[in-house]
Amino acid sequence: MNHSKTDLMHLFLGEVEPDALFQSKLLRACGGIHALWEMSEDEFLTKTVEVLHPETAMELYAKRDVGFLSGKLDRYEQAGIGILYPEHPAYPAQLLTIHDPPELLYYKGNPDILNRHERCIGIVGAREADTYGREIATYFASNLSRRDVLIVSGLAKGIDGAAHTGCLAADGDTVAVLGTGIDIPSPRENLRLYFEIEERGLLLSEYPPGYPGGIYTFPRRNRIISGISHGVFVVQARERSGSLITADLALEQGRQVYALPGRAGDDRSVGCNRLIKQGALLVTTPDDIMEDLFGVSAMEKRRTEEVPADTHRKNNLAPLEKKVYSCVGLDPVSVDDIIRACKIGVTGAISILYRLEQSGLVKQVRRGWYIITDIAEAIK
Amino acid sequence: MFSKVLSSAVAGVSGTEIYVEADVSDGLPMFTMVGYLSSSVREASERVRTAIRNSGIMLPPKRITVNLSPADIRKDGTVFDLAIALSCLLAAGLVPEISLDRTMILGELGLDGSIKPVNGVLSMVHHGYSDGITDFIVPSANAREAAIVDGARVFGFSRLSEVLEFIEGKANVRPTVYEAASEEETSTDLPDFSEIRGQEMLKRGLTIAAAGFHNVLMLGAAGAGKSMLAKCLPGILPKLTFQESIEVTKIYSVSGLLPDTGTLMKNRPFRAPHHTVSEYALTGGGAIPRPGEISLAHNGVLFLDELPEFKKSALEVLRQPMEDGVIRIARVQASYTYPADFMLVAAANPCPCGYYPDRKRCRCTPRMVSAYQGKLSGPLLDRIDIRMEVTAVSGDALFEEASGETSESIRMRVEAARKRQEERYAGEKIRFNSQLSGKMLGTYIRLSDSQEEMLHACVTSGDLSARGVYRVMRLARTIADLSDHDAIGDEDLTEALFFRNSNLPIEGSVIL
Repeated sequence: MNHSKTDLMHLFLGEVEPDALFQSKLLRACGGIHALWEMSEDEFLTKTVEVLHPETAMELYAKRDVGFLSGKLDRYEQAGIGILYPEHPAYPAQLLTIHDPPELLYYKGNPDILNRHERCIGIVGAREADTYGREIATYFASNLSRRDVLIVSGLAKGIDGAAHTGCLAADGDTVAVLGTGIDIPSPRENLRLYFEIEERGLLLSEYPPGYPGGIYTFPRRNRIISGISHGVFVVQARERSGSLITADLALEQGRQVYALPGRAGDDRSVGCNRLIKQGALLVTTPDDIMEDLFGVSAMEKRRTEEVPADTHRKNNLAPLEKKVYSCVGLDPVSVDDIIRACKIGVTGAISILYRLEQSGLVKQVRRGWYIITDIAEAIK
Repeated sequence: MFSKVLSSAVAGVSGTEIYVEADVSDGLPMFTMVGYLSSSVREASERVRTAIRNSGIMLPPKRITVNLSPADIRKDGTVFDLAIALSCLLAAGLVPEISLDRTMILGELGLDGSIKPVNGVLSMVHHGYSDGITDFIVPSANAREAAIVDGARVFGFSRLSEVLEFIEGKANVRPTVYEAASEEETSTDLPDFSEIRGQEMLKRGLTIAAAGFHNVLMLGAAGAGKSMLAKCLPGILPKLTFQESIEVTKIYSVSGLLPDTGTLMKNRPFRAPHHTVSEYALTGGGAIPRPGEISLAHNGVLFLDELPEFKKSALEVLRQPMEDGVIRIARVQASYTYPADFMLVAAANPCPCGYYPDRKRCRCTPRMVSAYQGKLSGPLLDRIDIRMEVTAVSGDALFEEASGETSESIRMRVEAARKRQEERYAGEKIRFNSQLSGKMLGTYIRLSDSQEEMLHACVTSGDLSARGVYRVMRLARTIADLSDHDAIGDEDLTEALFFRNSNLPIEGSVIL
């Protein structure tokens, strides 16, 4: 198959270590990607003597072979993997504003969504998030994506996964930036999400297919999450959390940092609360983010209809149902709590909760524990 | 001269008749015993000869041969001592020749001629009586237990000399009459449901379990009260019926676990083996198999606390008995069948440290958590109808007045629900809703169209598996029985959906 020369020369650059800083150093030494591609072996060896061991340089130069590189690109295409580089039209424009943008990105899915949206938000947070955190992340993601904001996250467990899920549920566009090779679904818990994003969103990675990932690759990819975004929303973060790395990177890159406040003393929110102390924007509703992203007036225009909760049903609850419903909130409450608060029997409580659940007003997060589904209402 | 008397051995939880033959002939003084004997039976020769001498009788210095037949059954234990002694005395002509054809003789001898109790008397007497034996000579300590068999004439003795007097007609001994245990003897110190604060959901779940004999899994952090609640369970289980009582008492008699008073077991057994238990201790085993924990829990509760800590092999052996209600053990000499129709109540912590998902206290990695829960195998979980998640009672609830229903009043409702089931399944082999299987479900459980739609919706949404539907139907039937409904109501069905064993995730990770 015929591949454009630009594709091939960037793929050639990908043959060196998958490290953006190193790659750009190499490019600087050679005087740009075109010069690198055109130069002879001797020239290559002389120019890169500062950067590369001569033996490595010779090995590398041996790969500067159109047949070899096209074959590789063919295999990638068969596997549904494509590549992006700064000159590529689909390369996220926003990412070029950081000081170490990846010279080569691998993707699966639809790269056109990257530049389709005016604004982009990274939603990150703890892997060990609680129900509240996950629900908030889901809600914000679906609300913002319905208002034409691109949602970026890292496909990790907890908040990341919840953000992707919320976005897909709202039929929005979502990008997952992986810390492993693009063809390695990780973590295993989000395997299904991985395939869904491949189909309906975009998976990105700066690591070549098959690259196993390591402890350093995940913090590195965080710069891409914040780099693509105009702002980063930290939902829950522990004291020493990867999400705080993302927030730091976002600040370095001149991005806004939003944080969800937590209760004082809550382990899962120590990081968020500290961010707020340091000047991050305190966020309790998606409007807060929209306002900051677009300004008040522009935001008003973008105010889309919330998917209407079953307001009819909610307004026509029987007295006891109303009482039970009022006990349920964003934090899970147990059947026993409801029995005590409403002074009703187990059977009664269960059947009322079942009816509320069928009407879509409450949701069972684990056996016997309920939260409300209308988060917009709860955080208003 | 030759003589033959009847004794018995235990096989499984039943008895099997053993004839003790003795022959006294001229020759060098010897005492030979044959008939596939274990060493404890072989040693009987010493006990018997000494006991006879110490009862004031001299055996003639002749060649004595004793045979225990049928000779192809391995004989073990000391139950034959008394029969051996009597047959020797008969053969030697030292007691008048009387007919002992319809008399079964059981008991161990001491060197001083005393008669000591043995295990399994009820099983042996029960079996003998059904085979047409009318009179039983047993150790006096076992007399009450043996007299449980209605119609059998049981004579209890504590010395060999007393037996001889009885046979010679010198003493007038009346058959032991069984008296039901007084309240005092059966009273127990079980914790009562009314003592437990909060945990209403759990109490309700256990009530349903007790009413339909459903297996239960309780999942929750350490200290949430799982064990405490399980210990309350016997208090709400219905009393044993007479038939069940006999079954249970036989098992305990064979295992030698019957209380000294030798009365019929009235309360449902509650067995809580420690998690280090081996699979043989659970199923029963040994060279001469004895009933294991699951048989001792027959008609009652087998409580497995810390379920994931049990050896995998020990848990897997539960599968077949949970399905069939019996356990078959094959050994070289024979294979035995023990009843094992128990209600499994299992409790499990969510992780090795016990505090997941409370991350303030739990430092287990997600991998450890899922590995821990992965120890519960699918096939075992499949046989559990009810699953409940337990959380520690909140401070408020803890200091409120305990105002719960008492165990006694819950038990009344459970008994009523059981009664409905007994009537419903009168012509069937099953007794409880939990035993309803495929075909019978269709016969006994009718759902309205709207209810079927409700279940159908759950199946379509992936909430419920095909097996899950059956589970929900069985549970709904029990809940309807508890509320005295002839047809399953909508509330019954929603409650069944709530309590069923499903795959709802534990906070933070998808498990089970």
